Amino acid sequence: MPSAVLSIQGIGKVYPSRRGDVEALGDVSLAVAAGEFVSLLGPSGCGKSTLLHMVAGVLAPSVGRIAVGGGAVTGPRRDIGMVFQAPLLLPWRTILSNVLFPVEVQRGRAADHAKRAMDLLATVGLEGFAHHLPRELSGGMRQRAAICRALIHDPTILLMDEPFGALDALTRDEMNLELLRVWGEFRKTVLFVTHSIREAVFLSDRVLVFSRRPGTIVKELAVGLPRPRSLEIEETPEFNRLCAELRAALRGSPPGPAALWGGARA
Amino acid sequence: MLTVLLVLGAWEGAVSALGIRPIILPRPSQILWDVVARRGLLLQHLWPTLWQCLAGFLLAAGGGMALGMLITLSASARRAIYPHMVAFQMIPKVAVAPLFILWWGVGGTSRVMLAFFISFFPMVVNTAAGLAGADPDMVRMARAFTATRGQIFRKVQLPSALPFIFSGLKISSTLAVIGIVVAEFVSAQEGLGYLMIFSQGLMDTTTMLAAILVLSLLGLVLYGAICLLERLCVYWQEPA
Repeated sequence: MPSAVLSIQGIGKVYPSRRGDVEALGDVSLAVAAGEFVSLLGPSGCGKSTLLHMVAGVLAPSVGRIAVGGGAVTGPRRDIGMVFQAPLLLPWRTILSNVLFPVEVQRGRAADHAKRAMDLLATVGLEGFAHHLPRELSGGMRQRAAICRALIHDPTILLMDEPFGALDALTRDEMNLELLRVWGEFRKTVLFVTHSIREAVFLSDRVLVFSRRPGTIVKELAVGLPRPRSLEIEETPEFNRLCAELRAALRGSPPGPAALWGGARA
Repeated sequence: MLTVLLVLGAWEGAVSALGIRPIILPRPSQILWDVVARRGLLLQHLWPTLWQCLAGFLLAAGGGMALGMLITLSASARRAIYPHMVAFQMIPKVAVAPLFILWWGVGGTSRVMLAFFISFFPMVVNTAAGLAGADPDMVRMARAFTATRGQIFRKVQLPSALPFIFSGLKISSTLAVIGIVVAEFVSAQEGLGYLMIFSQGLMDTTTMLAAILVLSLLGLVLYGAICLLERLCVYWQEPA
């Protein structure tokens, strides 16, 4: 891919354990173009979160190479923003202070970025809560603040690890819409991990389906639905056809001997 | 409050009704009268106890926090210090009071050292536990945003540790009071502990209990001050 901003080549991850090595990820290769929204879809334990953490530079691959913007990933990077399953806001800081955390860590001047932080919060409707503590916000609101935090330092890539998994279905739909709106404004490259087929199709330009452990990519699906997308698109035949295709791909990948017997390879 | 009044009332009544001699157990009214009547004396002995207790406690608090942070930050320091710490923990601290008198004499220094010695280790342990107990997901989040080890320590671990540190401070303050009093029992010419021994010699149980009352108030005020400080510093916890 010519303008790949993220390149993953031959990545594998093996965890040593007492009963023999556990291969969390098999041979994974993929490339993401600038501004693309790509979802990683797969069952629990298939290694998609592991892959995300390797792109973020907080976990080292056992084999293979990851490059962001042409440069190899050897550790945490400033051009990456990450949103986790839990909001993970620092409870002793205000929402505004939390959003400015990446800037502070990277020794930027908070004053320069304060306006941008308030603008980001306004984009997600939280500008009135800038000086509140996280405990005063609901789970959905905290996760929205976490998204702002991941964007404050203008990263090249946004990594999202099942960010809406802990929310109820209604809030989740709302957050999906919100995310697309924010994404539409900033057009970041997004790598999004989920185990929800509908969420993957609704949000993405491309969906990559993972097999069970050891995870490998078993299918790549382009989602050609027009943007901007509203919730009504979930009723269309095209949407449901795509979901059906993904469901088949997920079903069609039976548990391998490794997953059944807990890890040791023959 | 009501319970306290009921207990005091029962105490007062029981002593009168059963004809217990004041040398064994005075009535609460007698103790309170004694506190008022002898307030000069009690205040005179309160000050040395108070200052020495505070000195020992603050040394333990500062030193304990510093050592707790050191063994969290440096694996080699932890390996070097921890076994010795565990060994020292085994020593019954009040038993070394006579030894401290031998080393530092009968003045205030030996008492401050004993208070310090007793209240030091809970501070180290609580600080280290609090720092180590920071949410690993928060730490990973900070790492993902490129925080250095030092930044993670200052911005994530330290604030997380505050509730534990305050727990340690409360325990240490109680122990510091005990340390001072025990040291005063063993050998002193001033202080509330000394006053208690002196009263015992005179068979003056009333003054002894008055001294105990003032001592308890000292401990209570110290504990209360720490709680107040905690309320100011630890403001973010979710309601249970």
